[in-house]
Amino acid sequence: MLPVRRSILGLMDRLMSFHRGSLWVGVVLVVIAPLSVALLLSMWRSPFPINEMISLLEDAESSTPGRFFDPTIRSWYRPLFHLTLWGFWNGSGSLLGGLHWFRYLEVGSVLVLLLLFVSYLRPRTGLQAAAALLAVAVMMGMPGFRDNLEIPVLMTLVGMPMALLVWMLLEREHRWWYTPLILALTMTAIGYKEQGLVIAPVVVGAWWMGSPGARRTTTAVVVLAVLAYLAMRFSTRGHWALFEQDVGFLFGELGEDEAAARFGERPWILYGYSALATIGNILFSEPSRGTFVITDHALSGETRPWEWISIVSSTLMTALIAWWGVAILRRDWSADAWSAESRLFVILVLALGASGALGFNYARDRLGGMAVPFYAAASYFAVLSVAERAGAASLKRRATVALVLVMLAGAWQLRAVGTLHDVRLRAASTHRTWITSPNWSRVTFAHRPRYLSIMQTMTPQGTDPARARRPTYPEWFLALIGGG
Amino acid sequence: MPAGNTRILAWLIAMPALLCAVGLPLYESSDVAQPPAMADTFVEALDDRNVEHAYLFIRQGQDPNTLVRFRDDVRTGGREVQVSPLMLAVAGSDDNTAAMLLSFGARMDYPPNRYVVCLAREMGMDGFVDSQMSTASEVECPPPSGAEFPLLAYVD
Repeated sequence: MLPVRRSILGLMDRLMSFHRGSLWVGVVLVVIAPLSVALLLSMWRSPFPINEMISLLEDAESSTPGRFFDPTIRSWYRPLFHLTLWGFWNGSGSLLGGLHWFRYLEVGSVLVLLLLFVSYLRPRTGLQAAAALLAVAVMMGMPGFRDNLEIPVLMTLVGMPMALLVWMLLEREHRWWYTPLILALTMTAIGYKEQGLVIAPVVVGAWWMGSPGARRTTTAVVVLAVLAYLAMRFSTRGHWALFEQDVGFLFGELGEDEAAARFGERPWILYGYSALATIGNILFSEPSRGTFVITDHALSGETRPWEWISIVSSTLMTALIAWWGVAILRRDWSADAWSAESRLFVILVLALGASGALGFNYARDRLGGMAVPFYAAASYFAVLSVAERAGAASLKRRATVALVLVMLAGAWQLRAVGTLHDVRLRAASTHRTWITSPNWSRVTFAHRPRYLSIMQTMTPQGTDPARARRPTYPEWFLALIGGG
Repeated sequence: MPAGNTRILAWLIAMPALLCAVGLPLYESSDVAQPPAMADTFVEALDDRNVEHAYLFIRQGQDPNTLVRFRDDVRTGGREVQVSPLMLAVAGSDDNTAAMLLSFGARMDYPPNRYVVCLAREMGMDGFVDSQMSTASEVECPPPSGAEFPLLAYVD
């Protein structure tokens, strides 16, 4: 009877544990649902922009799938992105049907990212659930997340849940199918945008630190595939411009030619600056696009409340993560064993470095996107660690920690709402472009009948006023979340 | 950590997210329930330089090639004139509304618009003329009026 009883008790214990886990996961999902659903709906309703989208579609229509994989056509290489557009259009049989599927992919990427993130954190107590709520706000409030919500620039957005999924697999007990899946996810993310290369150091780092799902074979296969990819890219690069786009530098922006003229002899200076600017944006929300906008406003006394909220909340969170990371590394160093937490901290550092390196040519907020899930996950453990330690401290210290954490949570929640507002502002701006640009497009692109035909088909979605509708927040609230 | 302290801390950290979860749907549902503020008339929308509102009137069937009555101190010196929406937008250097009107039906060959190129140039909108008015070169403009209210020189 005893073994049977033990089995039943064990099963009940597991069921209770599962129940506790799923209960708090459910609570987190319910609490983040209103903001998340509002964000997803806003993205779903946002009109596609007029010029960039039509050019992409015009290109997709006049190309064959094989041409998307030719690395000599453009300096950037996003074969799967172009193939997706082409596939959706041709697969659905109509342009509007294809755009519909494109929206599914865009909105689906955000939804999957949010679900994976909560699933990765899997809070099991009330405190963990609270920390998870803060971590979700961190993810949604980061510039690297916000900037990647721009339609149709979903290349990195598709890669972000893939990076997180790879990390989740690496942290689980190995299964034979992890290797092909991780390889497929890595190459797919790279195929959408080369920021996907960030996954490679994540895999190598995980293997080096002994993550349970990271086997030597997995690492070798990913490294070989990435090396082969890089060899192909460098051998077919032809002539890449020194600077592909405008480059943010200190308090302004340099045009491509101006940047080449000023830094042509020593481009590595500007490359290094842009790489550090990308990392700085992830850690401190400043600079943005390589430009110290908030600092500039502070120097001229024109800083707006939301700018203070951004820079202070990012800096404070980065400090917390650094404090937690160093403490956890010290603990594991003395125990001579990596833990899941210390591995995450190292992976965050690797993802930051890789994102910076890949953003060497010009800094954009969205280039930090692949590091966003890791930063947000690290914020979860850092906040949890501070909160748990506070329990053993004096009342005064506990009160201080509580005050800091609640302010931090409030600041990041405002930033998350700011992301929602930003998506809506962008939709309104796109709508405005749609109602003011058709005549200009007809004059400018008179020699491109396909362009005009695509524009004609897309006009109803672009000019629909319902897609630009947004709530009217009070001025004081707009000052806190940004945007007008 | 004592359970009570943990619970309080957890509530505090979760508070902003909870407020957002409750407040966002409440605020937005009440906001959506109210009709958006809108100009009363097409002319008011043009006068306010509100391209979105002006577009809504066009969308609802307002003909951009119909004369409207307009009077203000800045553009007509207080005199009431009958003017085309496009001329009115250009007289206010409102290139957004002018572009919208041209995009959604305003015709350059509509007689009251025949001097719109000239008015636009007089208003310093040369870039707009070059990029948006393909028939600009076909128009012969009278010498610039130099008047305080250029619009009055081009309306009958």
